[in-house]
Amino acid sequence: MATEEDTSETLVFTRQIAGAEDIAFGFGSIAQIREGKNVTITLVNSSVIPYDSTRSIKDVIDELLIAAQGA
Amino acid sequence: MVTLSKELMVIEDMVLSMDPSVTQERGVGTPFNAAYLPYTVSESVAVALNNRYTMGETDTKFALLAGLSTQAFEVNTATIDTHAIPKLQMDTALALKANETDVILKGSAVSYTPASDLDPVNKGYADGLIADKFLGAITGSFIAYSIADGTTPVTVSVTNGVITGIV
Repeated sequence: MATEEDTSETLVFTRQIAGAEDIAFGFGSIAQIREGKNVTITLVNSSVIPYDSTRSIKDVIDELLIAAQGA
Repeated sequence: MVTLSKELMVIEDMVLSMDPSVTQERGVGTPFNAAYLPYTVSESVAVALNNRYTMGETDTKFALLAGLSTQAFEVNTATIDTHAIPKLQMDTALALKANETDVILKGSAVSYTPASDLDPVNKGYADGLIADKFLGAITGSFIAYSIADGTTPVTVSVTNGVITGIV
C-alpha cells in the first residue's frame, strides 16, 4: 500500500520563452479566467506596442502613409 | 505548497527572430517578429511597412520610378527653387521670354537683314551701312556747319566721293 510519502511528486517547471503561439494577437479584448476570476485581457497588436515615448508602431506606420500621400 | 508568481512578459521572455521556427524543449515553435504583429485586422506590421515602401510602384498617387505612359504626374504650384513646377506655371514663365528665332543672338555668326523699319540690326549690318555712306564713293549733298562759327549752315555737295561744292 502506498504511504503518504509515496503520493508526493516533484513538480518541475521548465521555462520556455514565448513564441508567436504564446501571444494573443488581435484587436480589442478577450475574457480569460485568472486566479479564478474572469478578467478582460487586451489583445496584442501594433497599437499597443510603443515605437517611442509618444507613438505606437501603428501610429508611425499611419504617419508614413499620410506623409507619402502629402495629406 | 507550490506558489506561482505571475510576472509580466518582457523582451527576455520572447523568442525574437526571423527564423521560420525555433525548437525548444517543448517542441517546435514560431519566433516572434513583425510578421506576426497585427497592424490592422488584415495586415501585419511587416506587410504594412512593406506596402509603404513599395507603394510608389503600385499606387497612382505616387510617382513611378520608371514613369507611367498613361497618366501624367501632377505637382502643385512651385514656390521655392527646388520645387517641381506644373506645365502651366512653366508656360506662363516662358511666355515672358522671347523666342530665339525672333531675336538677334549675342555672339551669333548668323547675320540678320532687317525687313522693316522697326526690325533690329546687328553691328555688322550697321557697320556695313556706315562704310557705304562715309567710306564709299557716295554722291549727294548734306548740310554741315561752318568751321568759323559752328552755327552757320553750309551745303556740301559730293559727286562720286569728291566734294564738288560748299555753299
